[in-house]
Amino acid sequence: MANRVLIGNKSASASPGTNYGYGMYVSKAGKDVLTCGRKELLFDSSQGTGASGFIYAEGQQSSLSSALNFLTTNSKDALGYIPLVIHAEDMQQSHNWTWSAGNQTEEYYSTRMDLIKTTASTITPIKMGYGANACLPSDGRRTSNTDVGLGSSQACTNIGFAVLKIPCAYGYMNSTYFEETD
Amino acid sequence: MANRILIGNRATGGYGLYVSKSGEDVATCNKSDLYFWTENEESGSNFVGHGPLQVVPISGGATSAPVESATINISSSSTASLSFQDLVADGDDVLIMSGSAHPTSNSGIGDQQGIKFTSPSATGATANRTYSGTGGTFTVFVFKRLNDGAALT
Repeated sequence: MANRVLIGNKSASASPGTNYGYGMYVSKAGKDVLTCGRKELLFDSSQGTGASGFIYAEGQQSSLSSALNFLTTNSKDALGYIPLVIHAEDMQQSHNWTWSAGNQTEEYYSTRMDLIKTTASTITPIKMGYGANACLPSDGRRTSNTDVGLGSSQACTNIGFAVLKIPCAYGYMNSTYFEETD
Repeated sequence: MANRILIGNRATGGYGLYVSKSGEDVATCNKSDLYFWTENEESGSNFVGHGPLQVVPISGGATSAPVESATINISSSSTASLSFQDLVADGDDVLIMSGSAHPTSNSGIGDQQGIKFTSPSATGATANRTYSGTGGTFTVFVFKRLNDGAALT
């Protein structure tokens, strides 16, 4: 059986990597934690938190129509950056609609309707605009059947989300947060 | 060098395993500076959870290589079954995500193509068309998640 867990100094000379040092390391089954490379590690404390994909907060809502603060429960500290949030909800679909105005035909098309806006502390369901000079996103979802040819409501329902400790904003996706060495 | 690993009693968090990020004292740093921690200092059901993001294999994973995605076809039928390995307590503990190849051109209301999942259990869920008129083929991933604080106490 291979060595799987190391709390201590992971030697750079024995491992394919240069900045391991003291920390906690857990390797995959069958891989020697003392000598394996970074890609064989399940847990690697030498990397910046931004490179880890660790969950900082998560939750679910049966419906969501406005901003939800994912830091509010007890003493969850602000991360100091806008994190990557992955989510899944009922509205995992595209939307294509065409209409005619005079002698012109316009087409509205979006590959996904399950859009959310993420800040350093909140997630908010959003929708894309349509029409000339009006294509910017805005908060909320379309729910009216008369709105851009909806076949059904596009409300955000049964949403589950995970806030990852991965910076996902301009100016933060750098070595200060990721500290990648390999 | 800062203290990086604590196995024992932390002033905020109690007994557990804690690992801080580089340069942060594991005993006193903010939670946002912890790389890993086992304490559950939260209540409620909407915002808990921590640990690595983990894919639930569709099959395999223990004694054979994991199959990490499934292909769901709801073109000819409006529903289909999705099965995955039993790594969670119940159906509220999975996050099921999907994607599909979209056409480059089409028009009309009939092109609302999507999938949603109902009746999730610890080992599967039912895939449904989000819009009854249009089916499609989707690639699906399942992630493990924690539903509430009870799983951590």
